[in-house]
Amino acid sequence: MLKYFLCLLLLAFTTTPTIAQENINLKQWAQLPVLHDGRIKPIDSFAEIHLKKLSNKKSVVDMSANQWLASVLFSPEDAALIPVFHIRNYQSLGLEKHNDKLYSYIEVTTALENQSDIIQNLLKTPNDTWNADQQSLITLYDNANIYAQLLRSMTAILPLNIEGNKSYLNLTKSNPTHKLLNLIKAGGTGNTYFKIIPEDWSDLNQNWLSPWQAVAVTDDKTTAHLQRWTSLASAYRDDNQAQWNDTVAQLQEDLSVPRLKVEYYYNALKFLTLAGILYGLSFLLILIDNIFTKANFYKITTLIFSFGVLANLTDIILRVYILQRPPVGTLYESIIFVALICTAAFLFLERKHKNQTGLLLGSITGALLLVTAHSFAGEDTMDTLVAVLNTNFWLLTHVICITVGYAVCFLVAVIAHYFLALRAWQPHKTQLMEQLKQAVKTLIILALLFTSIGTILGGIWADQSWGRFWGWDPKENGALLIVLWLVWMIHSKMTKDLNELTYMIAAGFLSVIVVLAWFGVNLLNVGLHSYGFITGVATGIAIFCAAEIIILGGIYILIKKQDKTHD
Amino acid sequence: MLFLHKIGRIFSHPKLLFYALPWLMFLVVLGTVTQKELGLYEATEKYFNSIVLWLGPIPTPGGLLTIGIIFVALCIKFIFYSPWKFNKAGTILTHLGVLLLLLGGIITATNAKEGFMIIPEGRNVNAVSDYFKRVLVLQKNGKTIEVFDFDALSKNQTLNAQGLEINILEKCVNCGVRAPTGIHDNLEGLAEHMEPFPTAEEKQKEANFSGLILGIQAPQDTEFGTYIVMEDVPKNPEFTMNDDTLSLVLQRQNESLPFSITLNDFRKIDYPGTKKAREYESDLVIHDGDIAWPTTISMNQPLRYKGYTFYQSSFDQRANMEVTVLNVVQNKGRLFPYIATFVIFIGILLHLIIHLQSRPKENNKGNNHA
Repeated sequence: MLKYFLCLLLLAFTTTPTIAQENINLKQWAQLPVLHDGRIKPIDSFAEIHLKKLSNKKSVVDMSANQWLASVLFSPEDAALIPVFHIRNYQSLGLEKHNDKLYSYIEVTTALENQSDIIQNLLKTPNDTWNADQQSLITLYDNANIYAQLLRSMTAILPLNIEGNKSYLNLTKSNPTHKLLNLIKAGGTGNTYFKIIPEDWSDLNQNWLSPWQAVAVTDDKTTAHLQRWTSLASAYRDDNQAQWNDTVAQLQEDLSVPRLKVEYYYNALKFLTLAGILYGLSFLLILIDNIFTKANFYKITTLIFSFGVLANLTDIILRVYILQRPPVGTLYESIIFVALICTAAFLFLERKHKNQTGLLLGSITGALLLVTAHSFAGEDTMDTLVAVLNTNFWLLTHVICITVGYAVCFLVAVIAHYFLALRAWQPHKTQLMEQLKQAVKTLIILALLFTSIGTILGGIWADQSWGRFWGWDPKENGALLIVLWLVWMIHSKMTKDLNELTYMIAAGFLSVIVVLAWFGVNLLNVGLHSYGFITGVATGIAIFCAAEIIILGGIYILIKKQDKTHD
Repeated sequence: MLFLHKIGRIFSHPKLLFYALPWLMFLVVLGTVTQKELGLYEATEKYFNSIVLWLGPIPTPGGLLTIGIIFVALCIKFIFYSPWKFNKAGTILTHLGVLLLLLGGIITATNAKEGFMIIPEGRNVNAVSDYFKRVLVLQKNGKTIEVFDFDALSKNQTLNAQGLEINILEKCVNCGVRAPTGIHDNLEGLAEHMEPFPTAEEKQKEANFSGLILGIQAPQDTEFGTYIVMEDVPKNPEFTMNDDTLSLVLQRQNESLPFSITLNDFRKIDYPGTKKAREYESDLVIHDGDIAWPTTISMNQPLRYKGYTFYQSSFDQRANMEVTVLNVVQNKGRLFPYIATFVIFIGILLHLIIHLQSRPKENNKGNNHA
């Protein structure tokens, strides 16, 4: 609770700006670097991640993430009043009802102070014993601490209500014996969160410093850089766009990281959202084309879908450039990669057959996968990787191979579903069904190629890093399950133990096997693949599996009935 | 002969897989989901390394038996019933790859040895400790003279060595420790302050903390004294006989290496500004006879030397000392997966190409629209 007090103390000393910052253009500023969670990222990403973390939103009270962060940094006394904390169980904290469930820092700290005994007791217990409300309370407590750090970030260089609005930094130079200096210093020391100044200017990959840490550093470059931030703060508070622009340009000159510009535009352009919208739009157009008007939207749909694939591809390429590593390192990345492979393959099939099948199946698959990816996105989709994953060779071979394997399995499952739907409701489309059947037969071999090689390469990786090829780890078993299912299908088709219908049902069921191997094994929370662990998706997986069993089982019974009637 | 041929035909028929694979998948699912409850070791032993799996009162084929049947069937199929035609080349190669993979698995399962080395910075170590096996060692003036397998020891057993009569009063594979309860008399040494007792074994076997309560009578003593020996606890029972010091130590089974390793430096390199590790590295010096050379082990970069492979496995960073933990493996089957990957890749690829070429040509005219 001392932290809150110190934070409020510092805020009490800071002066209030006289006018609103209407003229400040934050675009260039948002491209400046900050070291956060082990990665140098633009302020733009930092702002988005934190606003999402606190409020679960991309903007609050008509402020963009960057405007909010600028206010937090340069005008903390105002930012402490911005409703930014999203609290569901506000009643239990004694807070008044707000329709948007957003509360300000001042409101939150007052509420948390009343809960301080409960929080301190909770912190002494293991976190896996907390219930959902207790977890939310601790999350709020952690978030309030982060916000306290953010609000104090610039207080070393902001003007204070003492000695002609001097900042702490200037006061230490002009009047180093001032009686309040130690008190202010106590409020700022320990503030290490907003790291904007490299400790070693010749090697940016070393640790960075926050302004409060940099105050103690005496080298000229750091001092000059800190002085520019002081000038920036004063430009913000005076709403002086010219001074702001000049200072931002100087800061950029001091520290130039070209990748950050790309990341800024990556954040702004949101290619993946665009891809999702284009996939969804393609699906709608096909529906309209077929059901309502019989209008010929084929060309425009193909074009829109192609742009969707292109946007998906662009997103992945930009991520590779920004993160300087192969495209798949996290669960989120595996989903968007699978989406790309599936949609690109369906586009290829569409170009080959030109019968809307590729567009229909591709648009549904792409849209659903990207919606799934969105739900897995978390606050930061560009997090750093754990040490064992930090190897470009294996990320390029095993991970890409197995992810392509997942994608091809999905293709097979989607095509099999479509085949079964046609067989049940439009059995006269024999030629199309034959094409789909052939595609499934070919793609199953391709799926086996990628999943089996991917799985064995995973074993070799394990041999390289842990000293054993196979350890019956859940993730390994998941991959093995897919391989066994494919081998079983191929052999049982050959021996005719599976007929056309049961073979297609088995192919459709591949979706369940893949989802269990891809996401399900992570729920077990055991094994060496602990980097992929996720919580809260058990229900989603259970619903998906149950739905698939009902759909495939239902179609099977329906077709069997129809066949009997025909006989 | 005809009978054998018939058996061979049945065994090599792909129909076997129609039943064997779903069973194997069932085992894989069970062996995976029960890991949360049983732990990896127990679940692996029960479902994958077993010949018979008891489902209640019903005996069913365990994982090892199921995989064994598939392996034998595939061998028979491959050797006696492979259709040696070009259009089957992909299938044959793939089968060969799978056989190599399983063969590698058999060699690994029967031959591979795994252990670990704990090396403090600046120290030289030449022994590998076993993860699971513990031994009770009798030392004379610090040198090992007799070794008893801990697993083979049982409560109330008596051991006679070097004039000592040793009764095993209590054995715990995984010990809890409590204050002496008064069950035993004549408490000596550490036993005066604590008493180990059996508790549930850890899910990860290597995490067990083993111990023994021993009733020991030395020739010069008139009665038994009660002593305790516990893993990694330094205060061991000692006896002086004829100017020699005899001591009993409970430790992991060690195997000497034909060379030794010194740790010069261990580094945990974090992502800047965080405590999240980006890399773990150990700078080592290998001493083999008169030759010594430096090398570095890091994640995904093991050291291979004289049939041993050393992996960066764990570490301990304390204020005044850093310790690296290396996983040490000897595995003659190590190369099989590498070769198998290549063979399976070529096999399935060839199968795919042959499949694509033999597919009926499609007629795209008059397509059915979706």
